[in-house]
Amino acid sequence: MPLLAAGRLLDVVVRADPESCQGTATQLARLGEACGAAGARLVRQAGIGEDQLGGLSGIVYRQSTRDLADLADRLAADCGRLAAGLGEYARDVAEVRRLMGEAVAAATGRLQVTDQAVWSPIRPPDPGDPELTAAWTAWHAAVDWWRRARALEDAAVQAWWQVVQRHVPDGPAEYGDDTVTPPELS
Amino acid sequence: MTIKVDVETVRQHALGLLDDAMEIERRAVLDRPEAGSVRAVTDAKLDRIEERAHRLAELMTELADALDRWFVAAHAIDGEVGLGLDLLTSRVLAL
Repeated sequence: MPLLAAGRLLDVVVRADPESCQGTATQLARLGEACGAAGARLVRQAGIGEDQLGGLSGIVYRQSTRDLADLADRLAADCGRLAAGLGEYARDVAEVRRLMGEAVAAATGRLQVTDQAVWSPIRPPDPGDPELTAAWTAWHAAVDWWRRARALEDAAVQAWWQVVQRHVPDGPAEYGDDTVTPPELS
Repeated sequence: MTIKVDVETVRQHALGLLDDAMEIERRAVLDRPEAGSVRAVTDAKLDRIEERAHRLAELMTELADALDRWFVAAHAIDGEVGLGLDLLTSRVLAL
């Protein structure tokens, strides 16, 4: 049955929460900064001279410190990339919620509305019934807003998924594979 | 044999490693956001990031501990350290 037929409903629930996504994005950014600071210090420490730590001990220490600096820098970069992507996702979700709110607002007063759904008129359009005509006009407006919201939601999910996919595994083998399964789109 | 060592500098290195490791550990606690349809993949990715951060902090702590063990094995005298077997004792500094 097409969306614009009688007896249909729009699911207006947006499950993603922009504030919690932004909160975690900020935490990721802070973790990235801590890793970046550690990496910078490790690079400085790896530059310790032969006159400060000589012999084979110095050689091994410098190499171990450089290896740690590489790990810290890669983790810092990954945290920064994920923080930016999750922050963008949070902003998109906030806009999805705003658009969905517009859909609900367009329907309110003319159609049955809950915080979960908007229902279309139960009778087909009738030019002789002004109230029913207004209800159908409200339904069309709500559907337009709802479609914009869902389109943006799908685009946001795809964009975030691309960020997650680009984030390649790194570090020692025991870190394991970073592969995750694709999201199921609505 | 003896090698040159700036004991104070190397001790500061160990302290710096511990400070940074603690800060990373402190930051590596990420809330799982309500991400909607991508919640599972988001959670999985955050799990990985936390694991990597904890591992990095662990390695940094291990290197700081190795420096401490190295100092126990070595004997600093007038800016130099005498090592019975530099080759053997230096291996504690390898990750």
